[in-house]
Amino acid sequence: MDSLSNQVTIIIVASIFFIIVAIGIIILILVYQKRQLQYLNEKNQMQINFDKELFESQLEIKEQTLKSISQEIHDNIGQCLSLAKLNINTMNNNDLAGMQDKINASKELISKAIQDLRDISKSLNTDHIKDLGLMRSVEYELGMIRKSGSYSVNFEVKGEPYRLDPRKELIIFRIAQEVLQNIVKHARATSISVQLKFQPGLLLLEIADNGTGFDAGMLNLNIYDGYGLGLRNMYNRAKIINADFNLASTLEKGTTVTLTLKTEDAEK
Amino acid sequence: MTSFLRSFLEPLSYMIYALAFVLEYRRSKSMREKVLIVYYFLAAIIFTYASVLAFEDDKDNNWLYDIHYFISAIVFGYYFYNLLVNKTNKQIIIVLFSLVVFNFILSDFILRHSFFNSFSNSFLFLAVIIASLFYFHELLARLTEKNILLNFNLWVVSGYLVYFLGSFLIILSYSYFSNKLTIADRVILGDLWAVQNVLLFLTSVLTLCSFLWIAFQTKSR
Repeated sequence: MDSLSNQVTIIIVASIFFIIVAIGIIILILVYQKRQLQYLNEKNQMQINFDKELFESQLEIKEQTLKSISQEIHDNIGQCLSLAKLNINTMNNNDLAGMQDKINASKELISKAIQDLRDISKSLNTDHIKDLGLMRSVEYELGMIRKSGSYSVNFEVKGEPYRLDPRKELIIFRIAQEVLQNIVKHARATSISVQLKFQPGLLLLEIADNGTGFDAGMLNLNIYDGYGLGLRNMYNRAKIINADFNLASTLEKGTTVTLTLKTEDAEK
Repeated sequence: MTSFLRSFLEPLSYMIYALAFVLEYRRSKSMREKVLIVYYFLAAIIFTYASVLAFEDDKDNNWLYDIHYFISAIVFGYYFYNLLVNKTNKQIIIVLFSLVVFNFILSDFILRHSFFNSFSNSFLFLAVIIASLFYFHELLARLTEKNILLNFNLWVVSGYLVYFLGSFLIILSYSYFSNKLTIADRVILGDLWAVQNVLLFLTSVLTLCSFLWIAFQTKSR
């Protein structure tokens, strides 16, 4: 009887253990599900933030585009057309040879204005950049700088080129464009060197100039807070696509900007 | 009190389950709940009769348990087949519960098992435990924004897991004890059954309370 009682007790204790196990499983599932949901919400929030930053970045790009168009029209096209108008206004019917010279000069000025308009259009057209791809777009941009005759431009591509997500390519190109614009506007450089390295799983873009440079020590440890809107924008854009943005500058020796991006999603 | 726990707590628990599913059916109008209502009402009738037989006349009531076992295998198979979404899981459920039914036919019709078949019953219990774990796995795999605690089936399956896992050893050891014990020792065996019935009662109350809680939560939103 005692032995039987003990056996029954063992069964009851083991059953209680199983009940505890069952309750444990349910609690674990509830906790795990809650955490998973929390993780999912955080991931969604991150995606929302990413989209928001991307949207802000696109807005900012549009703003810069308009500014750039305005500046380009004022500085180049406006000047050319004003000169052409001046030529036409000052034509003298009695001086046929002089008139012919002025017509030829006006023709050249108008052609230059048309070419400048084409260049602006291509440089700013997002679809055009997406179609061309990062490498060709950078090459085209450098070609325009080279045409100005003020810089010695060197463009080097290493590795087998591959395409990235068009959105990422566009952001990298806009960063490159901003760096090049900064060189033209502020660096007082004579030489620009751009290198694109296509490695498996890694893309590297390096833009270097031999301009006046600046004190890199002023930069707030690669965060670039408080330095300049342009730099901060470039840093933020790089952050959006999870790229590393680095800037190294030495006074009177030039500046080098390096952008590194892991490219697991590269379409070879 | 002990005799009540031993005999009438089981049909009472099935009535509570039936009530919970009637209430849920009024809300969901689902065929699944309809089947469970019929099943639990039937189970309540079967076990009330089995209890009367055992309590008053001490007659053999194993055939009623066998009928209940057979119906349970089909109903639980149907319930989990409908509840699960994953195709492979559904197929496993079909195979698992078909084996349970096949085992019933083999042991009760072909081999003509005359006493309470512990092995067959624990096989059914095991099948329900596995199906419950499949359901929980799917619950984790298919995350939704909805509050999981407002899912009535979560509470139902939780109750099943607690009851079927908690009473698995009791069912498995029943034949062993029945064969060994004298009539005088049956009080101890009755205590063992009482534990199982208390567990069934608690899970049925949990299911009913969960429905009321979900209804309250849904209305207050």
